[in-house]
Amino acid sequence: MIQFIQIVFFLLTLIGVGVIVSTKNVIHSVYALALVLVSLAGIYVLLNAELLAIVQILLYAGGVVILLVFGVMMTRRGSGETLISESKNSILALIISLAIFLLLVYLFSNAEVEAVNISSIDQVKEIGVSFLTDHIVAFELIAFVLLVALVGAAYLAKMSSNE
Amino acid sequence: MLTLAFYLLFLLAFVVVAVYAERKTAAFIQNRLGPMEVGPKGILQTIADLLKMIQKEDIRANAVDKLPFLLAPIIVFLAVFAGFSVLPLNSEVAGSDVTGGLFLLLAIISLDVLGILMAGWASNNKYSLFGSMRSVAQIVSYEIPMGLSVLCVVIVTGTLDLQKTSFLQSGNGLINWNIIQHPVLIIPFFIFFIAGLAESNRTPFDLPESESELIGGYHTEYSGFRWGIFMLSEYGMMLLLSIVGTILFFGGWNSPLPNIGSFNLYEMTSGAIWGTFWLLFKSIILVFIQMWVRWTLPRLRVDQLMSLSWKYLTPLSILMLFICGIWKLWLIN
Repeated sequence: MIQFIQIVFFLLTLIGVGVIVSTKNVIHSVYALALVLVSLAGIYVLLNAELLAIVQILLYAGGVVILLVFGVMMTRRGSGETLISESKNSILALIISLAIFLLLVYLFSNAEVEAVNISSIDQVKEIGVSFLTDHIVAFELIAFVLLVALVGAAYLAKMSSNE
Repeated sequence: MLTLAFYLLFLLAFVVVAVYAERKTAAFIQNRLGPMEVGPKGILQTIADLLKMIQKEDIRANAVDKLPFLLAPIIVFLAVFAGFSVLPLNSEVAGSDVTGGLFLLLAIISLDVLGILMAGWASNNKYSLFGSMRSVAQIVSYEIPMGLSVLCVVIVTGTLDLQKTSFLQSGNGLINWNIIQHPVLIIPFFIFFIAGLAESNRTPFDLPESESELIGGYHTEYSGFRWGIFMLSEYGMMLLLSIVGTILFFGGWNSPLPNIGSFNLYEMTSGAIWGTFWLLFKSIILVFIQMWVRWTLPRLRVDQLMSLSWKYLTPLSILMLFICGIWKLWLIN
């Protein structure tokens, strides 16, 4: 049963990726991206990485995708006109993506990753504790970067409204 | 699985009753009679409306973006309904056993924005587009105070599991409820309630669908059954947030009656069926308050909406988070 669900999520991911690449309507590819992200979250759940799945839905499907859709809507040129993206440099893009794909395959086939059983531990607690002990510097730095981004965005918004 | 099946059936029954109740509440507040024709006191009005709605033609304009237009109501409903999966029903029946169920709930209901955006964009209609843009701005802004107020409860109880939160409040009736055991949670509850009104697009935050300016906002182009799904999701969201509020602040499925001396009132009103009753009863009271607010307050302006969220609720909820931390660290023990 679990294997069947896994295959369904896998197929959904593939369909989503196919739509993202093939469609020319920008907003459709954003929707397909949402499909990919949610299906990936489903695969994470089946692999017992529940917290990762939740964060994936919250940040990517609920945050980044919404931001993208909003961006597309704000920049719609004129009215009644659908936003069409052109395919340029398709050969170059093919070469670059193939190169990245081969590089990833090479890396993963040589990597020695130890399998960790995470189904029995309290993931939220473990991650929280390691954020505030082992990775405290990175955690605080990210918080600081986000704060700077927030202040910067507020400043830019204020500047453009003054003009 | 059992919980989800129960909630699906309950939600459908709830919507039929709640639409009638809402119209009667509105009528009472506005000094009218409300629906009176179908059945005694108009009690069958919703069923008549439902039959009419199902028979209506499924209208789809030529210029709509077909697939997203058809998918949008389904996505909105699924996002809201998926939230029910982590809710417990009583002391024996818990929801889905996910680490961080509450976190999952907040994450998944935020996906309904995607459906609303889809509906607004695919309708190819300026009113729909304005409605869905307002909706996104609103829901994204109010998610922050809502998440922070929920976090206050999480700090105090120390768990993300809604069933565990309920067990922590069981014992002697309403004395053990979070909001009474930890009075510092009173302000977070009000923040949660206000943000919940905004999340479910209810007045005074119904700018996304304000009839008088946007002719219904993002569901302008929808008719018949598809419109009905939007309506179902709105009521579903109200019920979902009321149940979450009940579990977080008002004891969940625990009976409100305390033991008085040797008279064990609490034990007498506990158990699986009583638990379900208390959970739904308390939630429905919260739903009623939502309706009451809807018919007494006027709609906010867009700038008032934004300043309420960003200038008042968000700073206040961050302050409450800090106070809850102090409460948990030093005052409780």
